[in-house]
Amino acid sequence: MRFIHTSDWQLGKPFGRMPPEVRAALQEARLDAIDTIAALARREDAPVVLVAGDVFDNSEPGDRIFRQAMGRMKGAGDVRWYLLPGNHDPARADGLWGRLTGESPENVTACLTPDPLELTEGVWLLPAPLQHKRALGDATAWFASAQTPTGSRRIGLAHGSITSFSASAEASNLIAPDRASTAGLSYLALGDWHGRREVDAFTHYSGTPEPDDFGRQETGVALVVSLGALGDPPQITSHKAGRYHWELGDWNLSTAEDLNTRLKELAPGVVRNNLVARLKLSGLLTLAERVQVRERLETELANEIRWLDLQMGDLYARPTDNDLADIDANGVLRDAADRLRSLASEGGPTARQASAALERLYIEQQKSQRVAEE
Amino acid sequence: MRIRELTIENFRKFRQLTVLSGFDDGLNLVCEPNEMGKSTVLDAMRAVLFERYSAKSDRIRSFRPYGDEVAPTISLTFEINGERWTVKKRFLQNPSVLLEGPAGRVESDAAEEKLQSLLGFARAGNRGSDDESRGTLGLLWVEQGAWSLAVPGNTARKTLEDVLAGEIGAVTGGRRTTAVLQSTDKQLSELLTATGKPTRRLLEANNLYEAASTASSQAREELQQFENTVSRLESKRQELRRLGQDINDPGTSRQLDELEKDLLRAQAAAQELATAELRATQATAKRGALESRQGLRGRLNSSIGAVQTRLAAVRERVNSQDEMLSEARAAEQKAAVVLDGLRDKLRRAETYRDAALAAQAVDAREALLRAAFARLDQASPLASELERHADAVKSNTVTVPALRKLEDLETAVEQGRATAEAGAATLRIDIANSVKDARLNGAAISGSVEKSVTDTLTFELPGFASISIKPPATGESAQSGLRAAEQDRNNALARFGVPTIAEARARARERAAAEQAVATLTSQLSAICVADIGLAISPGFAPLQDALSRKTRPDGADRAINTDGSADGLSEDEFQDLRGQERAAEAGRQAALAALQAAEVAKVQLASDLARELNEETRLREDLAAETGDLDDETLSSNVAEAKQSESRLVVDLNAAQRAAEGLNESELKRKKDGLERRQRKLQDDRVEILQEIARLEVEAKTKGGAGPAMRAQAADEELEFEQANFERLRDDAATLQLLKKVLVEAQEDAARRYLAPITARIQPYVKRLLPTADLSLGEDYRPRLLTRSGREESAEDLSKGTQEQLAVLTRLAFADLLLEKGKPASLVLDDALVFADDDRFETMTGILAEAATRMQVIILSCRTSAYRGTDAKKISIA
Repeated sequence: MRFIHTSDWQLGKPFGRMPPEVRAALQEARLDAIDTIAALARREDAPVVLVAGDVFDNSEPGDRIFRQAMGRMKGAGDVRWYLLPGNHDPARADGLWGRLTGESPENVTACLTPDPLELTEGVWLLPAPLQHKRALGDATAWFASAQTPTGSRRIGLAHGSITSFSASAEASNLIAPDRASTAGLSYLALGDWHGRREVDAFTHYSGTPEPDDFGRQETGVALVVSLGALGDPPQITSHKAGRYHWELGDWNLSTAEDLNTRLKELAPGVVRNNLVARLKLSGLLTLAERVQVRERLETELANEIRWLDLQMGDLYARPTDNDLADIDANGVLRDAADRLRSLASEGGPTARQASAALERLYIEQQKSQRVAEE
Repeated sequence: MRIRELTIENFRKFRQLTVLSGFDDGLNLVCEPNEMGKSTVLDAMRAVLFERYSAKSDRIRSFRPYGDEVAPTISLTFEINGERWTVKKRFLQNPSVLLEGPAGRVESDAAEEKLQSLLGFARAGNRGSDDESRGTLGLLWVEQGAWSLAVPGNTARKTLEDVLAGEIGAVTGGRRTTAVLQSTDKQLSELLTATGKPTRRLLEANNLYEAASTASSQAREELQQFENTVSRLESKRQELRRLGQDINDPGTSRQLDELEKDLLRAQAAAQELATAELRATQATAKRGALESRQGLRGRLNSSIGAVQTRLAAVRERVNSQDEMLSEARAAEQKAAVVLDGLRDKLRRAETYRDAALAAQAVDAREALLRAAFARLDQASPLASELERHADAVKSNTVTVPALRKLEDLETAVEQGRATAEAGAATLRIDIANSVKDARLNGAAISGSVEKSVTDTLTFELPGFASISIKPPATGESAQSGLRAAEQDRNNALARFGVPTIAEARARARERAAAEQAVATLTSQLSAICVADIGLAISPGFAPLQDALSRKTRPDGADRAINTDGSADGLSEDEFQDLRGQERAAEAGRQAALAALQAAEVAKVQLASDLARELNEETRLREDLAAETGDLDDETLSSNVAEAKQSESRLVVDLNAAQRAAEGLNESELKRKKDGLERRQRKLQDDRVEILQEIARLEVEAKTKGGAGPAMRAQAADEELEFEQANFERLRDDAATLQLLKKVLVEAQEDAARRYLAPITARIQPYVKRLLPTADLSLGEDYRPRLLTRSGREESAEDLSKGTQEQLAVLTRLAFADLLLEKGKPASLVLDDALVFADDDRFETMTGILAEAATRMQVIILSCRTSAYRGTDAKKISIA
């Protein structure tokens, strides 16, 4: 018995903090993940896909997302899809899932009640759907007493945090870490963590197939699970499924040269168009260097990759005499530059502004000089 | 530059060729009265230098003298940089320009351009030259009334700045500053207006931010609505479940069953109550009927008693009437026998008499007369007797019919009394023989007396007691009937003037006797007073009396009447007596007959009374028989007792039934049952309503859910953050640019202050001479800005017109000095420049100008010849 374990599709995630064109691309990529997984299922001869919760980003993603998702799953008619409501899309009586049961294609099963389902002969699925955003009890508690024919294989499907992982006592949707062994499971497919994670040989988080945020560890994969002999741990292989790579860079620059090194090391092997990056720059540069760094990132990198979130608040400029001389040796511009430098060194909110104004003066002066030289 | 000569022709006032020549290097005074064309001189100087020769503008046309289509022509000769130049311009008709200099002549546009570069001014615009285009000369050549603290035009400023730049030396980057400032301004204008309000990009970002904010609240609102719909749906589902439980609650149907049973019991009890009521009523009715029968019987019996009493009375009267009748009948038969005998006797006598009469005819008359007198004699006492009896009849009204009537009334009284007595008590008194003088109602009584108490009875035993018995009030109607009958009877008695009925009967008998006597006497009289044919006397006493009153009674005795010997012959007297007897007998018989008839009538009346009473008795007895026929009195009594018993039993039953019904209030039970059923129906209705509501909400949830409210809300929130960040970034940008601009402008102003220092330095001595305590500071636009007098600042614009004018002239003088020092000498032309100056100021100003004239050419156009009289100036006249 081979099947695919995936979770946290989060279809319909709006990405509203990004520019409109980026939003559309990222949203579409989440839907495309379904096609990728369908292809993986065929390729790996694993015609059953278990989605461990958070299929949708929220309880009401709207008809377009819903129909797109159903359409794509229906398109993969040789694959059977088992969807589990998670904390983002809990199984409310009159919400999304209520409609889904009525309108979903034949090869899609919404696991809305904690009842065993036979996947194939001798293999039973025990789903633990979430009815609310935050459930206090362990939704998998019933697994231990679930009635399945003797000798059959039991696969758990659940969404939530493993108790021991959570630092907070108030965390909800908690799952006992030893559920797989106490409930006699051959495999426990978990969702909620967006990174792929192994709890024990029988218990795994697949992570989201399409990365959706910065700072996740291994993410953007789907798991192909092969059940071994009864009692043996399953064989798990991880397969890339995502398109976009989310890179979080925390760069401390001491010279403009450092940037070159950093840029060379940025997400090696990732197609630039599929790269989404957040760069937090810090350090202390000359005014000329800071301007140079900004120009390099804003005009070059930002246009090369899908989206760049550039945070330069912690990259400070210390205007040198050379910087000021670049502006003017003397005269009005130099006078203004001196005044701004003096303001910037005073501290306070004006200082930041003065610093920005000085940088602006530097840029404008260079621009006008370029125009003059041309 | 120095002006040397000016010629004007066909220019405004100057139609003829006018030449102004002999201008010195120093102070020149063109001093002419008003209207001589001083100002026109300045206009002409400007026209020849600054206006394009080919221009056709309104200003150029205004150069023509009024009403003439001529070509204004001006020529100016001047020296600059030691070279002499002459420019000649002809406007409008065949316009031309000619510039002659040391290098030769140039014409048309080339001449204009050469002139511009030579004197440092710009090409005039389409409307003609202005302060902008005229450059320094424009600044220094100022026409009348235009002296002001105006800002120098750009061209003039440029010249000044060029000059000043050299003066302060190290002014570099001025152009770059402008470029940076312009770029900053341009960028800033994309964000903020001149007054610092958001515009264009910043405004757009702000609008987007606000729109996102609105969209976010709207999306939240929609999400909330959707959530409301869903939670409402859920609560409706729960309500439906609860309702289902309520509807199917077994307690309710059990309650309904019990109520149904109670209701049936209550109905039965009500039925029983109704039946008991009916039975009790029937029993009461039955008892009442029986009791009323008893009452009826009592009344019938007493009626019968009364009838019998009356019958006895009637029978008694019948017996006495029978005696009277037989007596009357005997009397009548006797009278008839007497009459028959007499009549027989009379017939025989008459026959005899007739025969005798015939024989006695002769003597007859006397005899007749005698007879007549005899008759009269006989009749007279009879007549008076008759009269007496007739009076008696007349005075006695009790006729037989009247008596009959009275008796009828008496009968009615008797009947009334009988009726009254029937309901009255009966007083029976047995008086012992030893008692004397016992009286009842004053009448002495003895033995046994029985009397109905119909009126107050007073039984007296003198010296012993007086007992009064009053009749009961019950027999009132009978009593009143009796009294009425008595009244009627008494009235009738009074009418006939008799006290009692017995008296009436006596009077009736008297009257009958009197009538009989009248009849007898009448017939006797008639018998006596027969008609006497012989004497022609009509029958009757009166005729007889009358007839005889006139006759004389004859003497002698009656001769015997020869009766012809008839054995039966009777004397006349006998005859007449016989006739009288016959007549009397006749009357007696009539009377007897009448009495008989009266007796018979009375008998018939009594018989009828008797029959009536008998009938009454029979009827009463029949009624009684009918009444008692099916039920004798004894049985009736026992039946009444039985009925009473039965009635009281049934009343007990009725009370029991009432108590039973009270415990089971049918309407209350029905109300309870109806209430329960209504509630069930209401629950069913509610269920239907809730089902409808659920269906509606399901559709609503589907529709609203289909729009993806949660995703939209989240997206809207995130977009709001995005737009906010964007707006804030631009706002920071604007602040940065503002700061940059501010700093740049401050730096520039400081620089400008440094630039202006030379000009200020040159003006200051002049100002000190005019206003010893004052300092003048110029604005960066070279305009006098502030006058500081004794530490007090005054805006230059607030100064008096005269002071403003003087400061303007001094400023120009300083400019001219500056230009002179930089090797660009210019002539200063002032047209009536000091019109507002008082005498002291004027003197100071002319002194200053005279001093300046030692360094440069100064041309003053003025109408105040006398004012400049003491001035050492070259006088130029307009010839």
